[in-house]
Amino acid sequence: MKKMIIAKKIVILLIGIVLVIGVILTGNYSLSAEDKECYESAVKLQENIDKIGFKNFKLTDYPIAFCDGKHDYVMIPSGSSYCIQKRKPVLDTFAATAYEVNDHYEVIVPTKELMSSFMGVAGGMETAVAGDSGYNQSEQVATIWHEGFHCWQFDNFEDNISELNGGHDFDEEDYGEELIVKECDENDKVAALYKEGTELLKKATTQNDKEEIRRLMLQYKDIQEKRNALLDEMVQKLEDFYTSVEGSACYIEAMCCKYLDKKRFESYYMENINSYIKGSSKYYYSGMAQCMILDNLDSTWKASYDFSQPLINIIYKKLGI
Amino acid sequence: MIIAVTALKEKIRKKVFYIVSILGILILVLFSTGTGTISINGEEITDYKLLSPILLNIINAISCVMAVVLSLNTIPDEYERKTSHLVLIREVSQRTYHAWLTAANIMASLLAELILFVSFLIFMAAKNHGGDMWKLLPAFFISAVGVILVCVMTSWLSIVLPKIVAGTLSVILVLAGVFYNLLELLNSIVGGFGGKLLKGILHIVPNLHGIQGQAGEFLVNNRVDVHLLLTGLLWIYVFVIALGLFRRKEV
Repeated sequence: MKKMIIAKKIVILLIGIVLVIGVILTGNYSLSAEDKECYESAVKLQENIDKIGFKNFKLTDYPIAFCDGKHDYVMIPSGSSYCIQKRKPVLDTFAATAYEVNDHYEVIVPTKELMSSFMGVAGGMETAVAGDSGYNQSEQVATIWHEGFHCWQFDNFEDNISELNGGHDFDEEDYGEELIVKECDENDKVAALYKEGTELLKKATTQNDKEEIRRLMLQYKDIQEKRNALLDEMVQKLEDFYTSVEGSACYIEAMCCKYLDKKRFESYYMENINSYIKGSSKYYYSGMAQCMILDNLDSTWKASYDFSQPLINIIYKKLGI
Repeated sequence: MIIAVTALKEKIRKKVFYIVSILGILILVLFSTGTGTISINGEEITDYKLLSPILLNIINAISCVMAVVLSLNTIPDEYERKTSHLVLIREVSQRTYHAWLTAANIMASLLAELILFVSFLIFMAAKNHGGDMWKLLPAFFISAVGVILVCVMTSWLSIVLPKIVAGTLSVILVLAGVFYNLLELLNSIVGGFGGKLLKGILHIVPNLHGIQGQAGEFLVNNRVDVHLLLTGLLWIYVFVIALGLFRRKEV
């Protein structure tokens, strides 16, 4: 009887040991295969991005860190492959961003799983309960390129960008967001003029006829002048910053999406040009549209663009208006 | 064994058993017929591959809540009604007694889950995925890990804590487990003390979302995360051991 009890206890203990070992052995202590695939897929896109024409813009010039909330997994290119370095997260918050780490810029993005959960919450209660936001790999890859582009911008044109932005420090979060909402979104007349302008921008993105683009841009300029008369200079500068810096990054993001998922490019990026989004996000799409219009006028514009002036000024110059 | 069968019969007679089952079936029928819809970013989800894991998540959440409801009162009621005296005087150890009552809780909860899974067949047939019906059996067993975990956890809590406290705590733990992915996300967003607190909470909450989510992954041919399932089994093991170690005072 006593032996039976001991045997029973040993079996129970063994089950526990087996389970603990199983949990330890099957645990994921590195970056998930899905995130590695995202990274590899992003790097593979370099050839296509090269064709777009931003001079010396190489994604692999910048370490890409995937943050899972507990650790950063930093992808360091090494020859034709890469190695992964694990470290404590440099950001203590959820963000996809270009961030300066030890005197160099890095792309920091949440892991695909984390992004998916975030999008689920952002998508409302239904997606939160479902636990599936539909956020896919191509979106993650496009986000990596967006932030990679910021790294390149800040690395090469920080002074110009700072000037474009009226000397604002990039580290201050949400700078101007409230200002944009208050001055632009909550002013019906300013918002209506913006919406009117984006309709013209959207039309111009699909035009190859320079004269037609000129006609549309003349109307746009007229609307912008009316609109600017209602805004103070600081807000105008802020809009220029978002439109040119974020807009061009959004353009890169959209181009990645175009290569990976053309359907989404049409349904999401093109549709967002003229959809009014409160806050600074709307400028991402109007800036992207301006890049596309510039492509229709002269696809080599990117080789010399240095962010010292707003994108729209380049368009006006090319059209002589 | 008789203890478990008697307790199980009693559970099946409960109204809540039928109400929740009917509610679950109704949800599934609504989605099968296209009356009910789920939208993501304004787009209606009708694709089987997207919709089936979502519906399974809903089934799993309902099953977990059912498991709490069906497990919470079993052991305390036995002591309150003094039925325990009649059993314990027959040289049945308290440990064995609790084990059989917990087994009854598990069987009743799995039965409720089985009803919901069977009604999921209607959805599969409606979406022309009748050929995949066999997958529902392994998916059921995967999902059962979460349900059993909730049963043993609630049963143990009902031994060591007053009924109201055990019930509240079980519901909180189940909700936190079902929304574990959101807590993880919140943990990555919130810094400072709040972040540390959340991190602590995540350590004591079983990841029901992850464990049971594997059923949906299996159903749509995605990779099943064995680690999550083993973690679920380890949680069950810990609560089973706890059930054996903790005694309840006779009233």
